[in-house]
Amino acid sequence: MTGWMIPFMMRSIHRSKNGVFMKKINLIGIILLILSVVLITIGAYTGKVKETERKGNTICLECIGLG
Amino acid sequence: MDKRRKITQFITTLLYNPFVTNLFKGRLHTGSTKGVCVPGLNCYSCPAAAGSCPLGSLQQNLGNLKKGVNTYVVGSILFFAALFGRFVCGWLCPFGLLQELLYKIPFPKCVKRFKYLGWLKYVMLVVLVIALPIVISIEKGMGYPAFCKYICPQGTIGGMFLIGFNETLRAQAGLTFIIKTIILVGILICSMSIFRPFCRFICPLGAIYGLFNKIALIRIKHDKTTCTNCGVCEKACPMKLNPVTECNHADCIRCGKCISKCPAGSLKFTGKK
Repeated sequence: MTGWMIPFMMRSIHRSKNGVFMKKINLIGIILLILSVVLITIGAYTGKVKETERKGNTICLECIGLG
Repeated sequence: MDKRRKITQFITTLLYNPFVTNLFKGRLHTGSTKGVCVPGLNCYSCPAAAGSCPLGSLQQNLGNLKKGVNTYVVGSILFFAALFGRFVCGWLCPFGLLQELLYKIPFPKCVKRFKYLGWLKYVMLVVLVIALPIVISIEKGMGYPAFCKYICPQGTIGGMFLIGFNETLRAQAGLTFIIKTIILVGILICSMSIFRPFCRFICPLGAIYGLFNKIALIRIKHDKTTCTNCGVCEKACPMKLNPVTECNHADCIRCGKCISKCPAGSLKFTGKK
């Protein structure tokens, strides 16, 4: 979703001569923030937090350059 | 503001890595806090780490997409990006702090911008963070975090403690670890001469946050009506940007040096009057 939005926003900012676009930017920031909270909640309900925790609790040999 | 930022960086480093005694025991801290993604680059395989690195977690997920997309990790990264942008790099990243401390060492300083080298971090993001884990997982059934494996200097620091104090792991150290150590030493030496070389040219997490710099809720605003174009902010910017023409550029780490130096008060963080 954000992939196509970002270039659009960049162009909008350059065109901006007043605060109207800045308000739109704030709105997009808020929408993305809400989307992120939704994704985190979905992840929490589908056990992804536990999955992340399990990965974090075992030594990742690749991460430290041993794998 | 710089003092406040330094204090925040030190507190953040300690919050990310509170289990300091583990460094000398050669074992990881394990617990439910590892389920929390921290905003900055901080390897979860560092013995002192309390949380999980968002970049490492993302690569682990991309290397094993059979289980589905980890919406929790993607959501966490999006949350930090939409709220902070690269404010995370400037204020909440332990490896950024280490580079800044090294830059304070008296050493010949290179003040060039290296504009095109800045694109390297996007190459790292696309190739090592996204493409390689996916391609390897398709080929072999299970991918690995390629950026962590071949480049990440933060993980090498944690690995050094694990290897130093854990004999079983020490026996496994080979060529990859030697290459990673050379990369780490190279970055640390460059940090004495160039301001935050890893953040500017290599860090894929910074590249992700940078894409959101212009739309993040915490950003810098420039008041054209009061700006006198004196150029003080440009001279103050450690990332070699011009805050007047490149306000909220993808490389801006929101260190706030331009804000504190601006004599006309034309630069501010959003939300500040």
